[in-house]
Amino acid sequence: MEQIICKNLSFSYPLSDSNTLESINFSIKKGEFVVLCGKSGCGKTTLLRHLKKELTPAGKRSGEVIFNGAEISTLGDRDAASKIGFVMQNPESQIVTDKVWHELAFGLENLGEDTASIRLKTAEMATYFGMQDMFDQKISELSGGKKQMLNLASVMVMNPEIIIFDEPTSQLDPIAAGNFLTAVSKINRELGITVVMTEHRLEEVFSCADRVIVMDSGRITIDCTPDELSEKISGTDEFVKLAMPASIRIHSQLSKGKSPLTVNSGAKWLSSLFEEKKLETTRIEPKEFEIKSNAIEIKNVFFRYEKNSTDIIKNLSLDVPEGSIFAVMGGNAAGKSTLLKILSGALKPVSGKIKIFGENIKKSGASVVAMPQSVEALFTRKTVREELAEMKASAEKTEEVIILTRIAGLLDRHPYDVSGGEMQRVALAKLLLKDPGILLLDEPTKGMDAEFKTVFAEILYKLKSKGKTVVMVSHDIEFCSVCADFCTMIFDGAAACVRDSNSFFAGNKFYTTSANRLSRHIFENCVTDKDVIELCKKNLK
Amino acid sequence: MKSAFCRCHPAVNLIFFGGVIVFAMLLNHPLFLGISMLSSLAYAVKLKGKPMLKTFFLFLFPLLIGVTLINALTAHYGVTKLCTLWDGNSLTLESIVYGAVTGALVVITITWFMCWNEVVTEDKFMHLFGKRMPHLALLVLMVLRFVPLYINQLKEVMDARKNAGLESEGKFAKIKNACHAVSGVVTWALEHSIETADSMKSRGYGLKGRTSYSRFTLSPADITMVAAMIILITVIAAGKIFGSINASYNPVIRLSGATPLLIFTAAFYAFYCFLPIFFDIEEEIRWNRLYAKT
Repeated sequence: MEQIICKNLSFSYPLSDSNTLESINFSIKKGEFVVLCGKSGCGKTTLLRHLKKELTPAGKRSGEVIFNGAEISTLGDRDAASKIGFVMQNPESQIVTDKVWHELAFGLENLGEDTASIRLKTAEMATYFGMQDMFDQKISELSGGKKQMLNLASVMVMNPEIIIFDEPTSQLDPIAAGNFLTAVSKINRELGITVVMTEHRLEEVFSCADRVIVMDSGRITIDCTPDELSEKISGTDEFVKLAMPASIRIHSQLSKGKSPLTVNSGAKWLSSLFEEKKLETTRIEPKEFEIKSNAIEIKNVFFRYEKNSTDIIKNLSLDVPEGSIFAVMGGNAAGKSTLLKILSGALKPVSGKIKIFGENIKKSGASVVAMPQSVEALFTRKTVREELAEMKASAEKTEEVIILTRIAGLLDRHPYDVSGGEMQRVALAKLLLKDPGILLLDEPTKGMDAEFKTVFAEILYKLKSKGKTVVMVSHDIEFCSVCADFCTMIFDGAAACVRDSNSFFAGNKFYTTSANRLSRHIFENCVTDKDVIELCKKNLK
Repeated sequence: MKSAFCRCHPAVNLIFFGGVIVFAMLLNHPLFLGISMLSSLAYAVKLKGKPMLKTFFLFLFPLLIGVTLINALTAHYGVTKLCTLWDGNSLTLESIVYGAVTGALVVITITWFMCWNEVVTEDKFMHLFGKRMPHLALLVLMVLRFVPLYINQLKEVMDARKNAGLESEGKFAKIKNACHAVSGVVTWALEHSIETADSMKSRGYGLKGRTSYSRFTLSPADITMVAAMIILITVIAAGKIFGSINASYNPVIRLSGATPLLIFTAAFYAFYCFLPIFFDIEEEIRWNRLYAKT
């Protein structure tokens, strides 16, 4: 049964000449899991908002959106609120109340349910999502992943038939994102709730999605099953290719036909490719990096937040070579962000020494700048141009940085009005105007789609070629594997080891890229798609 | 839980604290003030532990002395002259005593409110006042959530600017820098509140007939407590009305003597003021007895 039907939907925002949505036609069956993908700014969010009555944007609209057989705007307010759920990107700003139990009850209070039924329904949801332990907690004490899970639960408690997700995991770390997507696919499978989701991380949703819809500048370009999409992937544009799971990306470069969708099936396919063949080269040599001097030297640093609390950083020693891109990885609360704050001088270590370019940290001054995790904190002006002017750099320098970070088209926009990936680049531009020797980045790829990541990596390469040192704290394994020269893992307040990125990821079993996981039984040291494709091509000749 | 009384229904807490505050105002007889002060301090120490003793000696006790002194030096009523002050006014016993009584009243009120803060959490407060005005209650709740959120963001912005090398020297430049930070926070807050509003709308906020959910239910112990408090309050109020407890300090100190009625009322008053502590002790005995059995 068709639950949602879009017929010839076109839409333009007020004061805009062009249509944001252009004759959209699709239908969604009850219980389907539909993934919607496309570049940022292609109209995904606008389309999703048309599926939720309360959030439908104002503007010129033609065509129909039909929910359960009736035009969506004729749906009663009560049904519109409870039957269609909507989960947004930012975990924090969707939350209304201060306690977990109250947030769960919020929607039911609005529907005017009585105390007894609210008690039962919140209890049921808290149990289903395993939230009993945090039922009484203050929401401000929860991690981002838990907050987003709570947002899902407080929509679920209203008993929706369909839930719409607008990039729900873009602000989460990979493990929290994985948990979240597992929960989503669970409610889809077990409760038959229809799911419509936009998502960058296709790697994980691909295997549980029934259908993939690709959008480009307001139109639907592809609408098919993941299997079918993997077949015609070579005919699509760059964005779609980059967003695909590693197994499809590698497969599409080497052969035609149906691709394996998961790491497991990708590994099997790779084995079958080289069955009964003698392999010439099975190893990629790590990129050489000549260490001249160290930009940062950390020796036996200890840190804790309060006098009597436990140490967050314990006896940490680390050398960061000058001119390298250095990735610091590790789980939540391992001390990564604390380390960055110590390096930027925002926090003082309890004991130990830190030298920046051979000098004591206090004297180094402006040669270190740090980009915060939520870059919005850097913006205080009305336009991007004013933001840059605030740094008081010369006109030539400003021009150079604008070209480097590719933000020339954004100068007259409000810094909050640009997309996530662009916002990161504006923030980066602002920092580069200080002409720092060392750049500290905290989760720079958060909220970026695959294409923006490629651009961002290119910018980092350019900075490196100019002799700048980049230290980034990141959860993004794929990005670090492509971009970083050195990687280290912080665990329990100390750095586990420092290796070049190839040997680092090749040495890990779980904490490594999909390309590595699907090729490790045949090839050594292959970490990126490029490595795997290169070796395959060599051996297949 | 620091005290079993915290587990009681918010209405029980409200009646109790309402009672002690009102009685403290009405019963300014030294014996009754002493009972109230002792019980409030004892309960505050039970709730907050050792830091409360520090608060008492460093803040509350000096406050009591201070109020006494100010009253003694500025008010000059009373018939019992002790000496003449440097400005020609006289220091009287009545003004000292009345100063001490006022000081005690201030200390008692502060201490009971400290206990209130520990016992009546935001949840309980919302239960007490949210039923009548669900929309206002929600507004208060959102403010409670947003204030720490905004303060935190201001800190983030200041840190971010510092780490970007945007720190400025000089008073004027610093103020300017802070203004930019605040303006950044305001933009951020507006931007995020749009999303919050969307989230509220999409979960049906604004529909007619909003209810206010509360997790509190009346237990038999709560009902017993309410009954006990009503009896105690009635007896104490009767004692006051029938004139057993009178105290006036101007121009002459006149206190009701230790009549049987006064002692009787004082005993009831003490029982009322120490009620949370008795409740805790009762709970503890019951727990220990059950625990010893198993």
